[in-house]
Parts: sequence; structure tokens; C-alpha cells
Amino acid sequence: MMLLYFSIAGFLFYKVFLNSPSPTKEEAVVETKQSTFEQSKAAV
Amino acid sequence: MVDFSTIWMYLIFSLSIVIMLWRPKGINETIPVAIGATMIVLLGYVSIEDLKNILSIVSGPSLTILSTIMMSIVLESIGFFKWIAHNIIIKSKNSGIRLYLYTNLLCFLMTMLFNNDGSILITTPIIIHIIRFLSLKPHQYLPYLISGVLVATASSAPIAVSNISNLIALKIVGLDLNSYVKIMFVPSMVGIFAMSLLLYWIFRNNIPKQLGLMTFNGRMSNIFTHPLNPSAEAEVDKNLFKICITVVVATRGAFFVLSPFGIPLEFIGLFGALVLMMIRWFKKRVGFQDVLKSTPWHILIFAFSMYVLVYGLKNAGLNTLIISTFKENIQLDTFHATMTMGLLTTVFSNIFNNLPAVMIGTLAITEMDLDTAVMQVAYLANIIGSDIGSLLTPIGTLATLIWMFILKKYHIKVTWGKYISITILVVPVALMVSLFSLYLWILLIL
Repeated sequence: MMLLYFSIAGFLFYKVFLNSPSPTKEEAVVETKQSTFEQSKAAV
Repeated sequence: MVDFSTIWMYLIFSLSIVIMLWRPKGINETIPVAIGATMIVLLGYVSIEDLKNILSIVSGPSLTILSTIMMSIVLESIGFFKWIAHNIIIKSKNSGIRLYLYTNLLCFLMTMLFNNDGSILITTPIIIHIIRFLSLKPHQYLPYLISGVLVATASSAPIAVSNISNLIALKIVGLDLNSYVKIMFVPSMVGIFAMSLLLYWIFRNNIPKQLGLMTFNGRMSNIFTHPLNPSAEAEVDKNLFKICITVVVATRGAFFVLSPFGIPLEFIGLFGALVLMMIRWFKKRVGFQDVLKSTPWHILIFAFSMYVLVYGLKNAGLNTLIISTFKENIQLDTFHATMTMGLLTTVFSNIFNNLPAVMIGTLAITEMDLDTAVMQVAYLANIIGSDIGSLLTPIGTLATLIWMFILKKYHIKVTWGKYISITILVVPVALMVSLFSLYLWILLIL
């Protein structure tokens, strides 16, 4: 029972305090085939 | 007539406690207690045989608590708690009430997953960072700070492994971890809930409705990074956090699953801390040195010395005095045992701190020749007095003293008068609710 209790407490802790919609290490890197210069040129 | 040696014993004890609470020139609290204990041993109040017995009782609980502190040091080093502070602000969505709920929940869960002193050491700076970031005025930030310390400290009552004094007393009285939780979880949770409700009611007009957070490009700005330079945020490794919290939860669960097989709690705790350090080494190539260096090993000497002092008091006749005064009342029934021990430990804790108070109370209970059920109920009421009743004054627990010390370090003024003006309204109610719930819960389950 205590194992279940701590699993719930741990899950709650993760969901509320650690899980955020902000970008993480992996998400922060946006992969693109175009270079920044090419993107700027295309935009102009 | 009281003899001269007894007066000496009480004098050494009182002086050690006063200097421990006062901490002149910021000396470590272990120093006066250790000097007092040494004097008591040299004067012959505690024998070498007693010392061996004390070491066997105190070493396990101290190492268990140290293992949770080691875990929190590892987590701190990987940015775990900074990330929590950042998330709390974002998830509060500009609402002061939501921020209040999140900070209280954090304090509760931190004590549940680590221990009360560790929880205070970690959550108080987090709350201070948040209130500073939000530029809250003193009457606006007090609700966050005071409810945080009260909830974090009281939350050590539901499970024994969150507080060193609970663990030491548990060992003295011969109760196992699972039996403790079976009896204590519900009553103490009722008490904590009552305390939280009361705190909210008291602070309801001071908690800001809106936090006035700035947004940058549609996102809340980060507490630790400049909005134009979110590099620290990008370095967060959520996967590592997920693994770490799983190890913490598994270690907590293992305390309850493995201890019935005779595996000492300290082995489980230290193994969990080792696993966490290995994971950090594997992921970040950081060794163990910082953890071993930052761990407050002096807690071992502190707990040992404190128990030596209490043992000296016992040998000087304090137990006999307590037994002759309260035994008759405690023996009557579980109701009298619950109320008497709960209130007695509350008074003792607020005079000379809850660690010696709970030790004195537990030693007295074991020598009262009580029926096993009454003895265990008296012991658990003793714990409620030491974990919840002790919050009446800042000297009641080591955690509240640490809290005061951190506030001072950050130049935040919370006077004893201000603290007590809140606790006097909250703590007696929470204490009586917890004790009465304990009595009713025992009637229901036994």
C-alpha cells in the first residue's frame, strides 16, 4: 500500500513541479534543412 | 531533597540547550550539545554500557536521515529545485492563491519524499526566490513563508521516515514502520489538513489575487534566466529528473517493503543515495566528492550527544518524576494516554526543542509498565506533540530554527512575536484535531 502511495506522491510531484510545457534540451533544438541565412533570404 | 549532583545534571542540560538554541557567533548546534554530553559522561551520569546502547539506537536513524539529505544534495546539483521554482511560477498563472496552494503542496511532498529539515533547507530558499522575483510586500509574502514552514514540519508526522526524532523513538518503543503508518497516517493527515485550512483562512486577505507577472513573447519570464537568454532553461534534462524522482520514490517505497525482512532502514537509504550518485556520474560525469563534502555528518554526533544528555536526565531521576506524576492518568484508557502524552510533549518541545522532548517522553513511556496497546498509543501521541504541537514557538523544532536562520540570511524579518501570533491560532487546533483523530482512529481499527 505504501508503495502505491509513494508512486502517487512521486507521480504528482513530477506532474506538478517537474513537467512543464517549456522547451527541454531535446525540444529546444529545432531541426531544419535550411541555414539561418537561407531562411532570412527566403523571408526577404 | 534534591542532591547536588542532580542540580549539576539539570544545569549542564539547560546550558547545553540554551547555547544550542542561541548559537552565539553562529556556532554549529552540535558543539554545545557535544560538550554537555562529554561533561555528563566524565561526571559519571552515563556509563560506558549506556553509551553503547545509545550508539545502537541513534546511529541507524541518523544515517537514514543523512541518506535523504545526500539525495537532495545530488538533486540540487543537477538544477532540480531551480526547475521546480521556475515551474511553480509558470503554473501559478498569475494567481496568488494558486501560488499559495502550489508552495504548500511542494512543502508537503518534499517532507514526504525527503525529511522535514531537508524540506525546510530546500523549500525556504525556493519560496524566497519566488517572493523576491514577484516583489511581494511583507504582508503579502508572510502567508507563503509561514504556511510553508508549518506544513513542511507537520508533514513529518504521517510516516516515520521523515523525521529523525520519530525514527529514534520508533526504535526505542519497538514499533515497526508499517504499524506506525497504519495508525498514524490518517490522524496526522487530518491534523495537517485542518492546519492548512486554518492557515488559508487566516491569510486569505493577505494573499495577492494577481501576481503581476511579466510575459515575454507570450511566455512567463523565467525566475533564474533573463528572458532574452533562456539558455539555462534549455539545459534542463527532464529525462534525468524523471529517473531521479523514480529512484527517490523507489527508495521511500523500499523502506516499507524491505524493512519487514529485517533489512535496516539506513542500508536502504544509503543504497538509494548511492544509486542517485551513480546516475549523476553516468549522465554528467560528476563524482561523489561534493555530496560527501556537503553532507552534514555532524548530525550523527548531534543526535548521539542529545540522547546522552537525555539519558543523563533519566539517570538523574527525571523519568521517575514524570512517571509518578502522569502514570496514573495515562493508565486510565487510550483517550487519557493520547491527550496526556500529546500535551506533555508539546509543552516539553516548546521549552527545550522536540528532539530531547520526544526522547524523554518515549523513555518515560517505556518505563511505565503500560499495556502494549496503550504504550504504543501514548508513544504516537508523543510524536504528534513533537511534530505538530512543537510548532507553537520557533525553538520547538530544529526545522523552524533552520527556517529562522535562512530568513535572517536573506534579510527577511519575521519576529518571534509575528510567528507566535499566527501559530497560537493554528497549532493548538491542529494538535487537538490530530490527537482526537488518533483516539477515534484507534477505536476504529483496533
